[in-house]
Amino acid sequence: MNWFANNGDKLLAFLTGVSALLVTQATALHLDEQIVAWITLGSAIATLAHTLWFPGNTPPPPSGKQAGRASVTLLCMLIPALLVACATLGLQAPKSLDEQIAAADQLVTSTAQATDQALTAHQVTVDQAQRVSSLMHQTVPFLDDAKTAERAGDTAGANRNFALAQAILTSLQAYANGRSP
Amino acid sequence: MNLGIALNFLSSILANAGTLSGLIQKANAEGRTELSEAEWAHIIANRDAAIASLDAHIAAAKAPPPSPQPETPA
Repeated sequence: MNWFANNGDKLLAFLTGVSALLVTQATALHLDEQIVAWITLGSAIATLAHTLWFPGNTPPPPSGKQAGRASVTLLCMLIPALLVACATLGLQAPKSLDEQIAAADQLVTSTAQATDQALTAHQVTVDQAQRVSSLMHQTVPFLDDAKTAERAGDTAGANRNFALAQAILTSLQAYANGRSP
Repeated sequence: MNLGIALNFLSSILANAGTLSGLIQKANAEGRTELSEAEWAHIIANRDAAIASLDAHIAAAKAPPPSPQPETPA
């Protein structure tokens, strides 16, 4: 289980990828958006696989058999959870812009809660948590403006602000994957 | 313990997704395409509380440990 202690950032990267998938899945209305959702899922799984199976990316495990069992256990627990998550949102995908904005708000909530827990558990550094918080604070005004515009009947303005919020959330995923500028 | 924390990550995401799905189902059942003001208030309150909690923990983690106070003579 030392894998978690040493790779909290990778775990955050994976889960952020999953989070992005959930929102993309939830807001997907067209085939091209569905494709983006599945590419995001592939990215998330690849991040986890890379972390688990590339020795250069992880510290040497205490023993081969023990690490192998831990990895298999982890996968056995994460993959069903991931499938349940996708199935759940796939059945109840928000369709209106109002609901899509709400889905993005829920993603912000989930990411903040997950980062909070990771920080408390010392699985991410203060700087990493600070960066996530900063991106959350940048995202919120765009989401609020999108909702205000949507309620005022300004669909174009709502879509514009929502797209900006999504762009910031995407940059969060890039940061979590270690590809941030 | 660490595995439990990892599962907390997933449960947080799934719990919020489940909450939203419930709200959407309720709205659809009532023939609405938009969430009500009360539902929005719930979502926003949760979001702001989560960010505030994260910021508080960041501030606490950044704060220097309290230095021991010298005992004052009685």
